[in-house]
Amino acid sequence: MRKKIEEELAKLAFGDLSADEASRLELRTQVDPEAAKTFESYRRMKDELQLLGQDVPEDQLSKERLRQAILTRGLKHSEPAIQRMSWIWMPVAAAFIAFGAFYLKGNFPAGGSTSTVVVDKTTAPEPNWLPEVGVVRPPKNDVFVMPETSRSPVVSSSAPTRVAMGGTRKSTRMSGSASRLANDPELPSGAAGLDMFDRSPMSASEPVESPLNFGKSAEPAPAPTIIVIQTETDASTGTLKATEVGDTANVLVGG
Amino acid sequence: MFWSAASLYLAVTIGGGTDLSEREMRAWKKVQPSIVSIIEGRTVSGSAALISADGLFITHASAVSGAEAMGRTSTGRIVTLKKLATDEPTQFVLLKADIWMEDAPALTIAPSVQEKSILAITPTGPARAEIVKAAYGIVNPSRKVVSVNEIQLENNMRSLSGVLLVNLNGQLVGALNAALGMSAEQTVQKTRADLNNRGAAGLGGGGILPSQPPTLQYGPGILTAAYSVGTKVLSRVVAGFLSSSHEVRHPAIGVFCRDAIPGGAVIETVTKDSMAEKAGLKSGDIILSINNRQVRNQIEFAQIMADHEIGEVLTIWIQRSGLRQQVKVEVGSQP
Repeated sequence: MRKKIEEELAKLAFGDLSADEASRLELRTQVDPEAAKTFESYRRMKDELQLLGQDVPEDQLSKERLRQAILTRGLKHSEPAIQRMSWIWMPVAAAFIAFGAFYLKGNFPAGGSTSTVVVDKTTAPEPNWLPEVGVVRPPKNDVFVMPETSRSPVVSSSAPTRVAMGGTRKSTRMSGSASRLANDPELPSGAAGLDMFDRSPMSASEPVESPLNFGKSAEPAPAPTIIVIQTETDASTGTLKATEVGDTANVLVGG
Repeated sequence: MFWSAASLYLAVTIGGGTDLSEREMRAWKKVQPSIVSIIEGRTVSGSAALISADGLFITHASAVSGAEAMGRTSTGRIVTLKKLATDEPTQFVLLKADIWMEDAPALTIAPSVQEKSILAITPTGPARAEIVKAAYGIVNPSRKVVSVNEIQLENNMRSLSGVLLVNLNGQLVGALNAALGMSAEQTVQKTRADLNNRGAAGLGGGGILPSQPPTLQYGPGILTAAYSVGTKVLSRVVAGFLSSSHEVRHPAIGVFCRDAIPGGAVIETVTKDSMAEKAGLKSGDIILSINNRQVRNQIEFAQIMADHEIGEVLTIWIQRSGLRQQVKVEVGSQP
C-alpha cells in the first residue's frame, strides 16, 4: 500500500480528515480489504493510545504527537523513561564525579592522603617528545638537496613605518606620566623588575608540543614589535633611520 | 606686558633644557668625567664613553665619520680619538685616545634595565629620556636580530647622533642606534619652528612669541622614538672591544630565514663554512623548533638564537622535502 494512502487512513482513524475526504476513504475501505485492515489497525491503535493516555497530562496528549509517534515508530514497545528514576541516581552520579575530579587533580579531601603532587617541569619527561620511528634521519642520508639560492640577504625595507613624532606622542615629562606608563599595555609586565627589557618575549614556561606537530598548527605567532634599522642616516635626527615593521612576513633575518 | 611675562615664563620653565632632577644631576656628575664630546669640524657630533682606564671609548658610528676624530674632555682638554674597530651588527665603534691622562673611571655596563628613567648624553648636554618598551631590531645590512629598547626623548637638539644612554646609577645602558623618521607633516612643522625660532632670535632675546607653539622647546615638545640595543648585547660588544683582537662575536649558526607557511622559518641562504653548513642544513629546510622551543616564523627563530651563546649545541627539528628530522648545530659566531 502506498504511503500516502496509509497516511490518509491514519488521519481518518484519528479524525483528521474533512468530511468529504473521510467519506471517500470509507468507500475505499469497503471495497479494498487491505485498506480496511489498515484502517482497522489504526483505529484500534487510537483506542489503545487513548487508554494509555489517561495517565498522561492532557496538554501532553495531542493528536499530532500521537500520530507522529505512530507513523514513525509504529506500536513498538518503548523503553520506560529512565528520567522518572533519575533523582535516585543523582547523588550517586555527583559523588562519582567529585571523586573523579579529585583523583584527576591529584588532590584529596582532608583526612585522606595529605601528599602534594609537585611536577618538576625541568625534569619531568615529555611524553610527547618521543621521536617518531622512521622519521628521524641524519641529514647525510637525505637525498633531497634543495638548490642553493643566490639571493642577497639584504632586502628592501619598504615596509610600513610608524612615525612617532610630533603631536602623536605626548610628553612623558608631564605630571602623571609615570602612572600612565605603568598602565601602558605595551610595557612588559613587571616593568619595575629586573631584566625587564632584556628578557625574551617568549616565556620559558611556554607549553611545548611535539616537534612532530610543529609547522602544522594554524595558530599565528604573536606579532612582536620589530624595528628595522637602516644603513642610511636620517637627516632630521642625524642618526640611523628606523622603521617599525607591521607585517614581518617575507622579512629576511640572519641568525 | 602680559605676553612678555608669559614669554618669559615659557622660556624659563620649558625652554631651559637643564631642568634635571637632583638624582639625574648626580648621575650626570658621576659619568661626566668619563664622557668625551666628539667634535667633527666645528660641531659636536656625539659623545663617547670611557670603557677602559687606558683610554678606550665606545660610541655609535653616527658620531664618527672618518678614521679619527677630536674629543673634548669634561676638563676641556682636546684628545685625538682613533677608530680601532666597528661592530657592524650594532654599529658601535671603538675609539682609542692617543694620549689619555685624565683620572676618570671607566663606565660600567648596567647588567639590566631596572628603571625607565635614564639620561641621554646629547651633543648639547644631558637630557631626560625614558625607556618605554622592549622590542627586537633587525640591523641592516647584516639582518641580525638584536633586542632593542625603545627610548622616548624630546628632539629639541638638532642632532641625535652619538647619543649615549646612562641610567640614574651612572651605568651605561646603551646608545641611540636609530630613530624613527619624521613624516612630511612633521618636517613642515619642524621647518616652521626653525623659522620661528630664527625670527624670535632676531627679535633679540630669544623669546617665544605667544602665538607660536614652542614646538622645539623643552616641555611638551616633539618626542622622538629612538632605539638602543639591550644591555646584554651592549655587554657583549664591550667585552669584544676590550679583548685583544677588539673583535665582537655575536652568536649565529649562519643562515638567513624567511617565514614559512603554515609555520616555521624557511632557510633562504646558508653561509659558506658556517656551523649550519657543517651540520648539513640546506637552503629550503624549514626550521620547526630549536631546543624544544617552537619556531613559528623567522622572527621567533632569531629571538631564540639571540638567547643562546657561542659554543652551545642546539637541537633543531627541520622539515625537508616533507620529512622531519633532527639536526645538532653548534652555535658559532657572526663577526
